Amino acid sequence: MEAVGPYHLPGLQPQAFADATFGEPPQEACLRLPVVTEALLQETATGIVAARDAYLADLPVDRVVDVIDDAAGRWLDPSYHLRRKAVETLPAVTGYSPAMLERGLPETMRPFRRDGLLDLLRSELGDPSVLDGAGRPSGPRLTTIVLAGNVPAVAVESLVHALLLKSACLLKASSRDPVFPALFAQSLAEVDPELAAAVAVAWWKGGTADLDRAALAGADAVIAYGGSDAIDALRGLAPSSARFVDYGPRISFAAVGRDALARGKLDELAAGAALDVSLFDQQGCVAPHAIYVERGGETAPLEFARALAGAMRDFERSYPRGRLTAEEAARIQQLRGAWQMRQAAGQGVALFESEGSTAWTVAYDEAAFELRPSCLNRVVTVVPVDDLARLPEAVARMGPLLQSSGLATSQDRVRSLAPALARAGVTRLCPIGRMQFPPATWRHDGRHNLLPLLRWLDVEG
Amino acid sequence: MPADTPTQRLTDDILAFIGDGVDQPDSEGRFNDLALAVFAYQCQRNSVYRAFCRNRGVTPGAVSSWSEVPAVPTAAFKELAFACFPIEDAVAVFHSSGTSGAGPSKHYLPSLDLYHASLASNFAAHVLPEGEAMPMLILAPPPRQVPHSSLAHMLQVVRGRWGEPDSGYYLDESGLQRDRLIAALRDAERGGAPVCLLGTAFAFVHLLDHCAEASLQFQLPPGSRIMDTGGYKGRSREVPKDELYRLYGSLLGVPGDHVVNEYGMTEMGSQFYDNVLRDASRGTVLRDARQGTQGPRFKVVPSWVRTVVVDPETMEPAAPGRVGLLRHYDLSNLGSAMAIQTDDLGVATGGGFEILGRASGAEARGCSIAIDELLSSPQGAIDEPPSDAQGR
Repeated sequence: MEAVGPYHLPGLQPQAFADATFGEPPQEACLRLPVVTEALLQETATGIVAARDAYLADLPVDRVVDVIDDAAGRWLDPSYHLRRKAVETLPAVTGYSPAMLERGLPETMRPFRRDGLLDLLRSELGDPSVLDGAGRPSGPRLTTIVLAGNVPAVAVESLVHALLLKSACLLKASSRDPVFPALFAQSLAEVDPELAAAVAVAWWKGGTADLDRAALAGADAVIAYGGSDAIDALRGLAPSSARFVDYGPRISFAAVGRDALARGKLDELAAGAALDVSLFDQQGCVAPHAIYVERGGETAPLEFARALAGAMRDFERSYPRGRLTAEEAARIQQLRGAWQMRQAAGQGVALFESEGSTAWTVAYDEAAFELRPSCLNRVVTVVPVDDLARLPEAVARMGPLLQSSGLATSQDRVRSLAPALARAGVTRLCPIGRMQFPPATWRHDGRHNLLPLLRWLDVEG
Repeated sequence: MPADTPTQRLTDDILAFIGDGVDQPDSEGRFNDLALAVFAYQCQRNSVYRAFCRNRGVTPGAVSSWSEVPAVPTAAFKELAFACFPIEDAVAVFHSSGTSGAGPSKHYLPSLDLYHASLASNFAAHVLPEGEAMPMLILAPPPRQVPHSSLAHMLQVVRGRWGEPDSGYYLDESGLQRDRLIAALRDAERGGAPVCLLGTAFAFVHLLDHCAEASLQFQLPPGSRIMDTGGYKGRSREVPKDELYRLYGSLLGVPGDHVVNEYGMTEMGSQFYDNVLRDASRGTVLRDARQGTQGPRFKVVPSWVRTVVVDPETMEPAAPGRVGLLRHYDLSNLGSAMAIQTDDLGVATGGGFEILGRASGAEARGCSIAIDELLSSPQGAIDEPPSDAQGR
C-alpha cells in the first residue's frame, strides 16, 4: 500500500483517492492521489481565491518575498524532510538519479532567495512596493498554471511569479512529475499556511478536456507549458478574458570562441560545458544540444570534444544519468551507430561514449553545422566552425524554437554577436557553465515574467 | 552476380544451406562456419565496415562465433551506401519509405539469387505450408509504382511463383480499389477455392473499415489466408492486433491461425513470419475449424538467420524474457551486412521472437525538444524511422 500523495489542496477533504502509475517501466512508482473531479476543481478554485482575498491580496510584497525566500532556502539543506522525500520519490517518477537530484534541486531554488526575488521585482517594476498600496496595478485573482515535463524549475518559477503578484495559484502537475510541485507548495505552507492556502496543486491526466476546462474556468491568467498541440488545446479551453502565457519546448546550444581555448583553461571550460549538458539529463530547455567550437585557438575543436568527454565521464561518476526506457536508450544507440559508421568512413566524425552504457555521448561531427535537436539524455554534438560569426547561420533554421546560447568568448565578441543571434531567435546569452542557472530576472523565452500578468490604471489629466 | 569466384562460392554455399529448409535444428556448426566466412568476406570488401569493426577491436581472425560479429546499425544505411561491391553493379536497390532527415535507407544488392532463395523457402514454409498455388489478392502497390520497395518486389515474386492467373493488385496511387476488391472477394466466396490476401496492415484496415461501414461481410473459403505486414504510419487508424485478428475473422471469415504477420526490413534480405499457419497445417496443435488454433504467436527465425535480443543500455544479450532491441544475423545479406542492429523492440520467446514495435524515441521528458518531435523541421532528424517493421 503506497502512502497518499503528495498533493496540496488546502482546506479540502478529497472524497476519493486512486492509484496512478508514473514513470516508465521497469522503474515505476505508484502514487495514491486524490481523484480530481470538476466539482473538486471548482471548490478548490473558490477556496484558494477566497484565501487569497482574505490574506495574500493585502500582504506587503516584501512579506511575500520573505515567505518564498524561507521556503526556497529550506531546500538548500540536504536534511530538509521535503527534500528527502523528493529525492526518495522522484527517481522512480522522473527517472532522475538521486545524486543528480541532490545536485539539481538546490540549484533550482537558489534564484528564488530574497536577493533574486527583489532583483526580479526591480527589473520589471522598478520599485517593488508599487505592488502594495491603494494605487497598485491589478494582478490576477487566480492564475492557473499547467505544467509539463519533469524539470522542477519551471514549477517554482511560475508559482513564484504568480505569488509575487498576489494571485491565487492552481497548479496542474504533469504526469512526468506529479510530486515536486506539491512538495514545494507544502514548503510554503510550513512557512506561512495562510499564504499557502491560496495555492493548490493537483494532478490529473492532461488532455482531459472537462477537467482542464474546469481548472481554467475562473482563471484571470493562464501559464501553460507543453507542446504546441497541448498549448493550443488549453488556449481553446481558457476563458477568452484570461491572459495566456505559453511556454513551448525550446532548443539551446553553446559556442566556444578561439580566445577561450587556452590550454590552461580547457578543463574548467569542459567541466562547465558538461554541467550545462548533463544537469537534469539535458531535459531542460536551457541545456545545449550542440556546442560549436571555433577553429584557430590554442585547443583544436577535436581536443575540446575529447576534454568534454572526460568531463562528461566525471560528471556521470558523481551524478549518474537517470534510467532510460528501452526506446530512449535505443535512440542513443542508433545515433551512436550512425556516428560510428561515419567515423569508420572517414567523414569527419569522432565519437566519444560511455562504455557499456548510454550514460553520455559526445560526437565530434564536422558535418553537423546546422543545429538539430539531440535525442537528449546527455548526447551532445561538438561542431567545429571557422568563425563564431557563422553561428546565426547555423542556428537560424531553428528560429522560433531557439532559447539559450552559452558563450565562452570575450565580452566584446559576445556584444558583437548578440544582434545577429537575437535576430536568429536566441533569447538568452550566458557564459558556458551557467546555462542551467538562469537568474530570477531571466526573461523566460525573451518575455517579461510579471508585467504581462498585470493590469495598470492610467489616469490622464 | 559478377564472375567472382569467392563471391560465387560463398553464394553457392549459402544457397545450399537455404535449400535445406527453414528448419535445420542441427545446423549450428554449419551456420557458424558460413557466418564467419561471410564476416571475413564483408570485412575484406567493405573498408568502412572493416574500420568500424577495427574501432571495436574486432577482426575476422579473432572471432570464433557469429555472435561476436559487430552489427551494423540500420541508421548506417541512411548515412552511406553500405555495400561489399561497387554500387554501380547493383541489380536492385531497395529504399525505405522514410523520406525526411538523412533520406531513406538504401540497400544495394549485387544479385537477387540469395534474396529470392530466402524469400521462396521462408514464404512457402509459413504462408503456403500446404504447397498449393492460389489466387493472390495484393493490397499493396505494384513494383512499377514503387520501384524501390522491397515489399512490392517481394509480393511480385510471390505472385509470379505461386499466384494463380486471377491474382491481382488492388492498391494503386489513388488508394484501395474497393469495388474491384469487393467483387474479387465475392467471386472467391462463390468459387469455393481458398485465396491469399497479402498487403500492408493499413490497407487491410481500410478494407475492414469499409466493410464495417457498408455492412459487408465475407466468408472466404476454408484455407483462405492473410499475410499482413508493416505499421500504419498515420495512413489509417491504428488497430490493436487482437482487434485486427477479430475483424479478419468476423468480416472476412479468416481465422486467426490463417493470419500470418510478416516482419521485414529494407536492410535485410530475409524476412520473418508468424508460426501460426505452419503449426496449424502440420497438425502439431489442436485446431477448431471456426476458431482456428489458440497457440502462442511468434516470429520464426529461419535456419539461415539468427536473432538476438540485446539490452539497449549495454547492447549485450538481454536477460531471458526481457524486452530489448532485435539484432539479426542473416546469411542472405552477403552483399551488404550480415549482422544488422535494428531499433525494433522485441522479446525472445521459446520458438523465436515477438516484435513489439519500433523504438520511436519517445518524447522528451522535460521542456527541451527531442529529435523525434521535430520530424517536420527542415533539417529533420538524422535517424527518423528507418526502414522496416513500420513499412519499407
